Amino acid sequence: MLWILIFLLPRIGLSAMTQTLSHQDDRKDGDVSPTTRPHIYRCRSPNMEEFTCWWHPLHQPPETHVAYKLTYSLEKAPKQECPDYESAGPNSCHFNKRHTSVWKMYCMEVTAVTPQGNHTSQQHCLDVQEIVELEAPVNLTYTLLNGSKDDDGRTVKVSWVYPVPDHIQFGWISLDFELQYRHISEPTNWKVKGLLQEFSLDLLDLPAGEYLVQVRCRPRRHGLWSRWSSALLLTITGKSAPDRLLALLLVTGVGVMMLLVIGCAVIPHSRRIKAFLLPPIPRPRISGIDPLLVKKGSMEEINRHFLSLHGFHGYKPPSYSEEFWDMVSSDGNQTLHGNPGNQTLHSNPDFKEVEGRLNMAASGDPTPTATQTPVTPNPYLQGPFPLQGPFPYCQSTPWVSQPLDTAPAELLSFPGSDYSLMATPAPASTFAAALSTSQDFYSCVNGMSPAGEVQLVPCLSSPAKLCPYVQLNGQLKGNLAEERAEKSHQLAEYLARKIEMVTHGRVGMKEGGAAENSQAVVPLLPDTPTDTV
Amino acid sequence: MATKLQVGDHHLQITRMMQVFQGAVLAGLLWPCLLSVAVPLECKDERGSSVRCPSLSPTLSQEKLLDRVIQHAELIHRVSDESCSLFEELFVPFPLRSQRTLAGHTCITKAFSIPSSKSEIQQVSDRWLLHSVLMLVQSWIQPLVYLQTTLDRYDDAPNTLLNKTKWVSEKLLSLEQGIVVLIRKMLDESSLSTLTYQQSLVQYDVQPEMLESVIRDYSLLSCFKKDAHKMETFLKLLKCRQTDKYSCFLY
Repeated sequence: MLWILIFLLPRIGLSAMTQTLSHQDDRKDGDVSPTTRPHIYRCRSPNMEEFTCWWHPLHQPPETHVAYKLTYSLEKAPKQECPDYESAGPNSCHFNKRHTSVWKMYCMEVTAVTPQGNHTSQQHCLDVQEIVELEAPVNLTYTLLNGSKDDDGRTVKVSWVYPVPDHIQFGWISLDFELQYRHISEPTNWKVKGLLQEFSLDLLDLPAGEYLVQVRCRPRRHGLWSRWSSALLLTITGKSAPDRLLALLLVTGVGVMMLLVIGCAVIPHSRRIKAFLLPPIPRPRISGIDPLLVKKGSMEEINRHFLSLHGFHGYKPPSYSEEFWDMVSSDGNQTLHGNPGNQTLHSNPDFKEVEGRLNMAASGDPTPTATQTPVTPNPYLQGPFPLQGPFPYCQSTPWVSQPLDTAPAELLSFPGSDYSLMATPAPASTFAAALSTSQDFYSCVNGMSPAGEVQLVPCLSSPAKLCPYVQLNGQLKGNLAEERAEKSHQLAEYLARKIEMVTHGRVGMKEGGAAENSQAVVPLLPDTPTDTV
Repeated sequence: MATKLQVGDHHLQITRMMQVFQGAVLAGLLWPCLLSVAVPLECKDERGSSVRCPSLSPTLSQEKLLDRVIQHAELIHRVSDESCSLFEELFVPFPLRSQRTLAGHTCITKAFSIPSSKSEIQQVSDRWLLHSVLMLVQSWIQPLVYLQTTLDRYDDAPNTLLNKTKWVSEKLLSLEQGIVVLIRKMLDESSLSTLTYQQSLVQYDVQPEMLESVIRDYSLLSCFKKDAHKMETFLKLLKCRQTDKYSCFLY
């Protein structure tokens, strides 16, 4: 039995707690009138000098006579009965000035006396100052101020009156107001102006239209908001409608005029106007040279043209020679075959340079060929390279089959500028020179003389890779190809021999340091005979 | 035999222990019930009044009381000031205006030992302040009632003046109640109660001469104005002392 008790007790405790909690819930349902007992649902004081409380009666059939008795006590004072049940209507209790005190809290309850028994409501406690709910303001009026011509909106002064001045006489209650207004077409978009302490308010710059305005009030720092006053209809006439029309007309007129002017006068003469307003920057011109001809003309034409000019002394038409760089000389010649005119290639060479190169070309095998090579872009130049640009090591690049005039110009055109350059048309030597200049850093040691002189040669990468055009060519290829193949074969053998020599000893090396140096680079010692080849 | 006794004792002990144990368990399990009964759940509804579970009735806090008392005192002072000015404008001839001590009439409350200078006021205790205020209030209830009757006798006394004095005398009564409640709360003295109207300190003739009456009433009003100011000052000083004891030298 003890164990039963033990199990039941927590349940009892919990139920007691839930009961008290449900009391709370009951009280929160202000509108639901419980049938079991009355319920004080509202107390209100209009002026902080008297107040009234109302309660919900029991739900009883009308025949039963139910008497209600309200008892209250001021804090710890003894209980007293309601002084006035009538003044405020049925189911109410009114406390007049004599019975109202702002110094103590009231706690009251209503008892329904029925033949079946007494039902007492819950206790309801209140502070008189906190239940003050004033009357809504009345007599809302408005005046339109500020008839300025510029603005579209008008300023409106809204004023109101408190209906019972006795409530607020002598500063007994100070009032705070709140105003809300909306355009008549927007039913939910109320704009609220709060913290008002005067009996009027200026609404600034209201656009034309119709508005509804309402005001409510509250005692300062305590109490509840009153109900909203009845709405005031505010009408603001839009006096600027004709102005607007005029403005619109003006704007459209001006716009049309502008369009006409532009269409008829400006566009046909746009070029002239443009030239007047933005004069073109003069390009550098050299008398006698037509840049267009130089750009687009054929080689023969240009040559003819330049030769005819007496300003160009010593102009020699560029000739094409197939010169090869002899990197490795199998005949024991230890000197560097190369181009003495191995100058650094500038991006803007002067004509001397051009001449130099031409000479150089001429000093080689001056076989005037009809071949042309397309222009190579200078390695220092930036920009897209035309794919036809010959690769410097492709020594069989002449496009024999192609007619002369379709070959692209021998001009280096610098993309992005108007400058064009009369450059040498691609003897292999120049390309080699060009490349060698770019690879000046990487000169390879050709050979070492017994005296200790180092002979330098531009480093070669594998030529075959850079020659996509090896395959396509005409009859000329045959000879060239054979020679080239022989040469490359020779080169390879030479290299192999040199490596061997280096690993076995330092023959012909004077200084150790030089040996190191030469070890970094594939040495090509020239003094081994290549009769074995 | 002995064993039987022993067994019996043992049995007794066991049952006793069981009882104690049961008691402890019950107590331990019953605590939620105790809690739910003892702790009143306070509930407030949206109308601003607090709804309570029984057994504890709420009271106004001391701060709220003091604020309201000060509010009353301020209003009384303001209205009495207005009344005095109005009366002066209407009835008092120019030469007699704003004299400190009118001939033959000193303020009623001069007899009371109420601190009047600033330095005195600073030294006075809270209790003394409250009691002074109460004394002032109580001593003016009757004269104000008299003032109402006497002003009625004036032929052209405007309604505003009459309303004001009437209002002031009502609020003074209310203020008295408030001070009593405040004293009870602040000083824990419950022996005070609102005094029934004392013997009036003012003697008045039934049919005084006009000028004398005017002078007397004017002196009453101006004395009351000063005392109302005193009341307000004392109460504000009291309030100031609640928050910060050492920076209340403005009063």
